[in-house]
Amino acid sequence: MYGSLIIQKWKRSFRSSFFSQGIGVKLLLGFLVLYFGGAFLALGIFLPELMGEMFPEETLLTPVFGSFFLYYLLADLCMRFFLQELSVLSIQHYLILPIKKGKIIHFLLQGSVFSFFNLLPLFFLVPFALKTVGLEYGTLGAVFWFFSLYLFSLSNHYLAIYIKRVLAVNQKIFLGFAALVLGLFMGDLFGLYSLQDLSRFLFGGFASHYYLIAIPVLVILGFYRLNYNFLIEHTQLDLWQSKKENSNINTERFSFIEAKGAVGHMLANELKLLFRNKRTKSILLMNIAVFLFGLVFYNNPQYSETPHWFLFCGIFMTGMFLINYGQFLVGWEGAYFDGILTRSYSITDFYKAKFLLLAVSCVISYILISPYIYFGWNVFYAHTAAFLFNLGFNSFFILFTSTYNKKKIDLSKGSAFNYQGTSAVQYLITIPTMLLPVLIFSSFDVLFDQQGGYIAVGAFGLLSLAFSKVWFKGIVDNFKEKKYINAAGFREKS
Amino acid sequence: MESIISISNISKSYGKEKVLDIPSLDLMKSESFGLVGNNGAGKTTLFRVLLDLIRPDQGSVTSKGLNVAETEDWKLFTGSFLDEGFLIDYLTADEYFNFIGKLFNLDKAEIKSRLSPFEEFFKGEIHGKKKYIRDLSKGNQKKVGIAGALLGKPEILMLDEPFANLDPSTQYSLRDELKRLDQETDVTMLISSHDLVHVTEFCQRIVILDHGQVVKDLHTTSETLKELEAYFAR
Repeated sequence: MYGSLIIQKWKRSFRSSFFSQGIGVKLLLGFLVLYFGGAFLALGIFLPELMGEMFPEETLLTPVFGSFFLYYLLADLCMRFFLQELSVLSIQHYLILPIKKGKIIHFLLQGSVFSFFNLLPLFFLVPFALKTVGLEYGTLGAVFWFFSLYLFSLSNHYLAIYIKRVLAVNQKIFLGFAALVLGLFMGDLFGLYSLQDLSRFLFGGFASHYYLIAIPVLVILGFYRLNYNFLIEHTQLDLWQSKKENSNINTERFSFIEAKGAVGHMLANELKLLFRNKRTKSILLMNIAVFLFGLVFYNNPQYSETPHWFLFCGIFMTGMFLINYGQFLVGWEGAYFDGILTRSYSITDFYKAKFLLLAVSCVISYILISPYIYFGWNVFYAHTAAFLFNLGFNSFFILFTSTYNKKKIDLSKGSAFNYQGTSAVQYLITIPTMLLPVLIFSSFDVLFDQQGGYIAVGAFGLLSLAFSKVWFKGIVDNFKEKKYINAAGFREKS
Repeated sequence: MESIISISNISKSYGKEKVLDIPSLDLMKSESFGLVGNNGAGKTTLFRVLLDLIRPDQGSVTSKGLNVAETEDWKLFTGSFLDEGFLIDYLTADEYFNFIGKLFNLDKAEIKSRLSPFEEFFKGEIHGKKKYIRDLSKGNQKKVGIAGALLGKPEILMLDEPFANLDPSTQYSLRDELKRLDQETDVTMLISSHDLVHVTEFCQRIVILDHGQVVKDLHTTSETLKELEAYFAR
C-alpha cells in the first residue's frame, strides 16, 4: 500500500510540468541548484578558517559554530516558509479512496522530507563535522554533533510546514509567532541578553554530551505530531478552499481611479489583479526584499570605486516591479484574453493603463529608496538616472516585448519556484533592460566623467519618453498582428 | 430580409485536419440562429472566427458590412459569451458589470436597470455578494457572462452552449429571456447548443455542422425537432 503511494508520488514529480519546461528554465534552475549547493559547500569547507580568523582567542571552534546556529535556524525557517509548499490538495484524490486518513497523512508528512531544502544543510554540516568537529571531539562526537544539528534543521522543516498550515486557517497565530521572533531580536539588540550566548548554550554541547541528541529527536517528533494532529482534523477540503463570502473584499477602494474614464477603469482592474491574486502579491513581497539590496552594495567600500554598480543597483531597485511584473504582462490576463479581444476596448487605452501602472511603480520605488542618499550624492545621481531610464525606456521596452507573450499564468499559485508562464525569452528580455543603461553610462563615463554618464542615461530615458506616441503605436500595431497566435497560446491549458 | 453577418469562403485547418470549411453562409437581421453539432464539429471555431479570435486560412467575415478582421467597430454592437475566458475572474460580479458598462459609457443607474430583467435569473446569488467571480460556481459564472454579453444592448448576440452547466430552472428562465429578446427586439442571435429541444423552441433557423461543414440548414417548423433527432440518432 505504502509502496504504491510512493511510486505514485515519484510519477507525479517526474511527470509534472516542471520536467516539460523549456530548456531556458531548466538551465536557470540547474544553475540555481548548483549555485546554492556550491555556496553552502564552500561555506562548510572554509568556515573553520574563517572562524579561526574571527575568533583567534577560541580554542575550540565547535561551540563557536553553535553560537551562530540559532541564526541559521531562523534564516532557514524563513526561507522554508516562503519557498516550501505542502498541499493537502495534492492528496485530495486519496481521501475518497478506502485508505485510512492517518496513513495518508503520515505519507504526506514523511514524503515531504525529500526536498532540496533538506539537502542544503548537509552541504555545510558534513564538511564542518569532518574537518573540525572530528578533530576536536573525535569521530563519535562528530557523528552525534552532525545528527543533532541536522535533526534541528529537519525540525525546522516540520515547523515551517506547520506555521504555513496554521496560517491558512488562523492568521492570528502567525502574527503571534512573528511578534515572538521580533521580540527575541529586540531583546538582543537592547542588550537584555545575547542571542549568541543563548545559541551557544543551546547548540554548543552536542559533540561532547552524546545524550543531548535526545532533545532534537524529541523536538522533531513533537513537530511531526503537531502537524499530524493538525492535519487529521483538517482533511476536509472545504477547510482549505473556502468559498465563503469574504468580508475583506473592498470594492470601493479603487473607485476614485475608476472614475477617471476607461483608462482609469483599466488601471483599477490592473491594481485589483495585483492585490487580489496570490502570485502577483508574492511579486510585491519580493519587491520589498529587493529594496534592501542597496544596503549590501552601498555599505561596501569595494563597490564605491565602481560607479556602474550604483547605476545597476538603481535600475534594479527602481525597476524591479517593472521587470518582474512587466515581463509576464498580458500573460497575467491570459485567462480572459478572449474577453479582451471581443470587447470594445481600445488597445491603446489598454496599454496606456499598463504604462501608468509601471510608471507609478517606478515613482513609488524611487521615493522609497531615497533614504539611500545617506550614502552620498552619487547614489542620488545614480538613482535618478536609473529612474528616468526605467520610466522612459524600460517600461516601453517591456510593454513591447509583452506583445510576444503567449503563455498563460495561473494567478492563484504562489510565485516562489513557480515557473509557469516562463520561457527563456523572459530571461533574455531582462538582459538589455539592465545592460543598456550600464553600457551608456560606461561609455560616457570614459569619454567625459561620472556626471556625464548619469546625465546621458537620464537623458536617454527622457528622450525615449518624449517619443511615447511612437512607442504606443508600435506596441499596439504589434499587438494586433500577434493577437491570433497569442490568443491560441493563452487558450492552451498549461 | 437583409443579411447582417456574411461568411464567405472560410476555411481553417490545423495540420492536415480541416476544422472549418464554409463556402457561404448569411445570417439575416433579427433572425435567431441555432448551431448544433456533435463535439468537434467546429461550432466554437466558427464562433471564434466570427469574433476575430482566430484568423481563418482564407475567406472573410463581415458584420454589418464591416470586415471583422480589419476594423474593431463591430465590437460596439456585438455581445458574446463563449466560455469563462471572457470573465475577469478576480473581480466581483458587480465590478465586472460596472467595467463592461463603462465600455459602453453607461452610468451605474443605467447598468442596474439593464440588469433588472436578470434578477430572477440570478436568484440573489450574484448581486451585492462579496465574492470574486472565480469563487462562483460554474453555473453562476455563466450567468454573469451571459448578462455581461447583453449589457451593451447588442444587435448581435453570440452564446456558445448557454444552457450547459445551468440548473433546470435557470435553463427555463434563460430560454424565456432569449425568447423575449427574440420577439421584442431586433437582436440577431447566434446560439449553439446540445439541447435540441431548447434550440428548436426559439430559433427560427437551425444549422447542423459536422466536421466543419454545414450539412443541414433548416427553417424551424413543427417537424424540425424530429428531423434533428433523426439526424443525430442515426
